[in-house]
Amino acid sequence: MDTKLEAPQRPNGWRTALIGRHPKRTLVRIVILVGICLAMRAFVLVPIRVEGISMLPTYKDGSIHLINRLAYKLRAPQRGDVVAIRLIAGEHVMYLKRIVGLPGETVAFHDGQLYINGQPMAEPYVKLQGHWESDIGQLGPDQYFVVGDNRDTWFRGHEKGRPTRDYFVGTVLL
Amino acid sequence: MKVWLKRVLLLAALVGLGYWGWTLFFQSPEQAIRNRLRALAQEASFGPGQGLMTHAWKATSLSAFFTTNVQVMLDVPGGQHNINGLDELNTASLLARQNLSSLRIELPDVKVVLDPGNQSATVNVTIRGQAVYPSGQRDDYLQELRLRLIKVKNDWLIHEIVTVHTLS
Repeated sequence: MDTKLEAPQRPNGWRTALIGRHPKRTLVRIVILVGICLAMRAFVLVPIRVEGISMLPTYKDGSIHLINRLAYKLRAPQRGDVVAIRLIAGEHVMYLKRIVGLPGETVAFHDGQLYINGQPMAEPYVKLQGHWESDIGQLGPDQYFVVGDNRDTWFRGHEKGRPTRDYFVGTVLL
Repeated sequence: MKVWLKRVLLLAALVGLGYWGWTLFFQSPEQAIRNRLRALAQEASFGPGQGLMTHAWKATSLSAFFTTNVQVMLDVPGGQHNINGLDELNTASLLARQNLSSLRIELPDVKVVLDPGNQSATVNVTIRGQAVYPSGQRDDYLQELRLRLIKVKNDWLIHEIVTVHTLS
């Protein structure tokens, strides 16, 4: 009786590298990983790419950042927070602005200086100073005043305003 | 390929095909409006090197998307622009085509709210545009608009366009 001795079959190197030794397990891992990524994208972190110059020099045109959706689940928005603000139509395009005025406060700009309730407010993040002159007025009980860091722009052309908290998607994490 | 994997892939393909067929034959009013606006964005966009006749024909072809008494009220940083009726809209469209070498319009977000009865709808839409002038200067636009659409003989036509100031 002949006895054949065969060396155990070794899996192909490339195949092992691509799908592992157990394809079923790899598939399950991929599904779980995709699920986690989609859940993170939907409920925790939103990747964004900055377009425009309104947040210069803090956030440059074309730079990529993450928005933390959970930021305001535990605390209220604060002055100085950089927030992503959704539009009514959806969240594929958002505004990226800094909160400078809180609900009930009176906001004004004189010669580029921000005034809150008549008092000048230090803004160390503003490196591009302009000469804005405007009495924005008193904010409503649920309104925040948001504006970009680049004040060396045409006042009317610079998107700014007083959205309510429910328009805030989250704060910039990175 | 393992049998179970084949079955999973076949099932996924069948589900995908079924969904595609369903949306093709049983289009919801919301989907019809989205498709209509997508078609409008494509029709309004144009590349460089188009002749005067093409511009004129394309400009008038936009008429199919609007009611005859359409009203457009745009309040943008450059100023306020009002357009009353289809004739004014066609003229404005032709003028824009003649003054630009190319225009690309995208609608990244469309939010449709149907009125009771599904015969009219309010649509909030984010418009992202890139205009290139003959001088080579490039302008990028981003604007949110609110549209009123009316269903006329199974077609959704735009009856009103107004600017939305999201941050105000």
